[in-house]
Amino acid sequence: MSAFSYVINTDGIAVLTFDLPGEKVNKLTASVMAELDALLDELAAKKEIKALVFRSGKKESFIAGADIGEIRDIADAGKGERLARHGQATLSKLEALPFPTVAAIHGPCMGGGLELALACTYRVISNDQRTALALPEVRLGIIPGFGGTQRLPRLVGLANAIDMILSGKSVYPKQARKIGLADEVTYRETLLSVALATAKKAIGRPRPARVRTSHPLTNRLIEGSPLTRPLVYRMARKSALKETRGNYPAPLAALESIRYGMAHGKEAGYVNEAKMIGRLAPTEVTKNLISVFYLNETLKRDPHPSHYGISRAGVLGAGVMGGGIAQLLAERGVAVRMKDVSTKAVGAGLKEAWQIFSKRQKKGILTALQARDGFDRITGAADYTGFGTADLAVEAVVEDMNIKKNVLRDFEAVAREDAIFASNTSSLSITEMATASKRPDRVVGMHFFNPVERMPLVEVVRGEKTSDPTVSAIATLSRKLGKLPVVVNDGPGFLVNRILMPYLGEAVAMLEQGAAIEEIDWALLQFGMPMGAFILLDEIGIDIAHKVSEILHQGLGARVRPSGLLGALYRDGYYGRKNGRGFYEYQGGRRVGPDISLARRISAEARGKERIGPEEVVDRAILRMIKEAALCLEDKIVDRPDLLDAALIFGIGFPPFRGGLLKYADMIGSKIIVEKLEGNAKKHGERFEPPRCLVEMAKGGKGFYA
Amino acid sequence: MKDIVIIEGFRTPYAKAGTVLKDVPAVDLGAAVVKEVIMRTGVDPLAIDEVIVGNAGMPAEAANIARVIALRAGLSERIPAYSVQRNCASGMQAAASAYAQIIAGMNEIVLVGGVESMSNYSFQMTKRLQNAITAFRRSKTFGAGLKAVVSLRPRDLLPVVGLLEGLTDPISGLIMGLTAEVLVRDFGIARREQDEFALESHRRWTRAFEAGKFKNEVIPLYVPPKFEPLEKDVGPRKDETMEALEKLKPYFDRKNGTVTAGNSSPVTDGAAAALIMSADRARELGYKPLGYIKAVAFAAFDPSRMGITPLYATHKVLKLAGMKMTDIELIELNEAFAAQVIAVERAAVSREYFAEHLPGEEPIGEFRRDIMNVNGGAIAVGHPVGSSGLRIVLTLLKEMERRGLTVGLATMCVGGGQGGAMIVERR
Repeated sequence: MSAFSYVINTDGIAVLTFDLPGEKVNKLTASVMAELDALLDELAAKKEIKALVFRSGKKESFIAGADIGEIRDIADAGKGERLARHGQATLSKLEALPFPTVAAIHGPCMGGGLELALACTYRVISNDQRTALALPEVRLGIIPGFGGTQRLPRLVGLANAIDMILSGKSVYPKQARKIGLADEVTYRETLLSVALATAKKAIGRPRPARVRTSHPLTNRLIEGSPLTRPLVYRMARKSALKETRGNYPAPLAALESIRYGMAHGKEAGYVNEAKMIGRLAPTEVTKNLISVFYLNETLKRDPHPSHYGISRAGVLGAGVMGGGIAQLLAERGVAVRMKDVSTKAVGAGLKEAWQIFSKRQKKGILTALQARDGFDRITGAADYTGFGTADLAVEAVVEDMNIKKNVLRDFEAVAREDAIFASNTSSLSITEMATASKRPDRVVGMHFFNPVERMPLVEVVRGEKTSDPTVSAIATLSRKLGKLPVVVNDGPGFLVNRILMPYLGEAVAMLEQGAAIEEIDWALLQFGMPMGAFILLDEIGIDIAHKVSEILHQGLGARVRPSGLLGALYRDGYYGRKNGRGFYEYQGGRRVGPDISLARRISAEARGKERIGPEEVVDRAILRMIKEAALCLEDKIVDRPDLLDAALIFGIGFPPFRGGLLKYADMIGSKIIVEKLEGNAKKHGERFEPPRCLVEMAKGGKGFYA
Repeated sequence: MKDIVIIEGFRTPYAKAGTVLKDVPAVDLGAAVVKEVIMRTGVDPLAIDEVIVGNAGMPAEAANIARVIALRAGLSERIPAYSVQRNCASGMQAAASAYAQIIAGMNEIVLVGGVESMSNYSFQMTKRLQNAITAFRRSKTFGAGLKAVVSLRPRDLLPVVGLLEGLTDPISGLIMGLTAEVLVRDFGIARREQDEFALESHRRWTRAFEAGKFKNEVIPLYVPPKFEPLEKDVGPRKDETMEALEKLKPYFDRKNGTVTAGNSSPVTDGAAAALIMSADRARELGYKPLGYIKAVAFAAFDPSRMGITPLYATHKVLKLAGMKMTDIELIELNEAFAAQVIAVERAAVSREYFAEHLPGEEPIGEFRRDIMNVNGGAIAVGHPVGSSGLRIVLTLLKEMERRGLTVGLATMCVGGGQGGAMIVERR
């Protein structure tokens, strides 16, 4: 079946519709591109065509991009380069048609889809919320390969193009018009008629001159001059290096592709762009990023969509977490009643939610009206009034089993029979908590990660008696909230904290051995972690970390015994950022540098003696994680290595370019992992003792994935 | 006739205008208290048939403030809403309209409110400035534009204060305080009487507050950006003294007057809301109502003597209810001005007054101070005009509940020479 069809109207305007059969969205697969190529020859020969409108046959999207599966399968540079060259040639053909072309865009217009639109003479887009234009290739480790790095800067200017291509972020209708990416913005209902009118007007007219947008004069001056242009590149390069720490080659490659094309002309630029695709596509980083993309897709898809409607929720506990959860629910249309013990505490929770709304408004994610309406959905109470109509309560009170049980009982006393009680505990047993419930099947864990606004993961924790519909309801809700749920079984620390705590514990152990805070954090940042272990400990709160590690120690035994230093700091009132005393020093809420007074706490003989190199830092911290992850699989906390990897990537930001913790472990190989664990066990004790499951895996020459 | 019940109602803390609520628009005050009524009654929001909100100032940004409040409070867009304006009795009018609509069979469950943000009354421009701007915009030549600009005099640039405009009766040309001075002259009311009345209002409010009486009446308000809970009225003075009151200069008639800022109600921000339905529906839903609306009446008289009107309204509502003043066990008479309350008290027992103004009618009888405004009144707590009419009904019912009483009267004067009165019962 053909993906393209066209009709020619009485004005001589051809309307070309792209509708990939059997797919929900349009993708530019190799065969689609070949079909388009042939079709363009046919259209070019038709004398009666005076203009052309290109549109999507899908209702809610334009083109999702290239076929990611095809990119994943690129095994060598030659194949990647050829794929890009073919695509470029087809789009150049589109650009060279003997009549004007108009892309009519509604819904997502991504990657290759936008590159196709860039090859058209004009772009008319709908002002719908779903309409977004982006070149997100760098997020998959590659660069736009169908001429995007060449056409975009010529259309919207260097600064805008660099911003779009290096970040991969979406541009929405208003901004698209502003930077000149869109020629017209209209309603989705009038999209086709406006596109036809634009085409009709363009008949016989010369191509519009580029750049003809409204960007600031200063930008044009700086970009226009060959003297100052290198400055633009240098600044972009610097900020890209700072953000990627050299772990992600794609943004720099994209920048180079832009620079080369601007310096040597479009044609040379295409050739160079395709070469870079060839170089980037087969790399490990690209394969890993693509696998993370698929993980994301897997978690987004709902295997058991729940029909339990959640339109009213209670949030118990108005702290930072409670405020964040309330904000998230309210933004997505759920009416929230937030409760705490005093009106003062309630006020603090409302303030937290309000600040997140304001921040998101400032960032342009929400309009002023959306932010206001969202916040309007939250009310506060110092009692249980208003909880009788709630479909769900999310509990975010202090991490104390007795208090949580009391809150659960109090809620059930006023709640509807079928209301769900979800605990946001980070480590307390859901099964144990549910013993306080009259309806333990409706008790479940819903563990958000801090900050709620940014971390995509939700651990949905199934207690022994939690029912399947309850789990589905929370998983479906999490997706509705824009989060990625991973269902895990109950156990100390569930999945993510159980693996995270040994990692953080090892960092503290290295500190006790005499290594410096900033050296440890630097090594972990270089490895790709989003923040250093000690910064993270300060953010989580040393009190919380201490409590969680005690719980893990009780539940899992000596291998996760927390270090003495953590407990000592906790007892001395070091709680991390929240009270301004942690591993780092804080001045006016800003982190200034490691707290040097901590050195006093480290035994004199150790102090400064032992230097632990960055590789060893990473090895020790990550090995502890791998060991615990193996045990999580053995204990059936989750049953699939990819879910475990996804949880760590989306929950604590385990570096996506490494594909996941267990992917990384497999890359090293189980045999070497076991050897390294044994070596460290000799030096540092049983916490590194390789577990039997790993030893057997190594013996069988197997990995976690295969 | 159907029985109509008030299920429950609350108000925000009242705050003197220009203080803690000065940046909170009337809509936000209304939405906050409407949300609390829904939450605390547990009413199914979809069961509400109509929203009626009383408001005197009618903000320009929310022309039909009831609709805006309903939607901001999260009520379904399928629920209609309208606003009512009877100046100071707007909040009482909302309840009266709900009462009438339910009796007429138009609705069964109505959410009513009374809101006012007197801090947010707008400043307007003078007519001359407005004309000049229009002329300037339309001017085609530089000269014409210039002419429009130079036609202005400095005083044309001063703002027209909406609050003062609103508080001035357009028929008699008197600002409200001066209508109180008319009553002072009519009835020969001494300054000292007024000040003593005002002092008692503050004392009664203080006693009630300290006894925790407002806890089931006032909801906490969380005001951005700090969100510290506001749980107490801002205005009543615990340590008010006669000396301090006596020192104040007459505010409206500086030379001959007796009405001061101390013996008048302050301009105030605040909102109240309540859930009203037919008694049958309340029974079906399992509610125990706060009280029944027995009768409600509005009456009118000379705009320059607007403060006396509670007399006329009470006279009318007693007739409607088939009751006598002696049947009333507890009274809320809104304290716009001490002088005006005293005038009502005197006229109520005056044969001469009735003979002259209500010929053929007997004096209605005493407004007993020991059962009137027992928790203080608007002189202490403030008078956000569109809200007070609903507040006094709620305050009355909650005190009747505490005292185990069955019949109460809420009455008030209304700018423009009207009066409102409602008789409520607890069964």
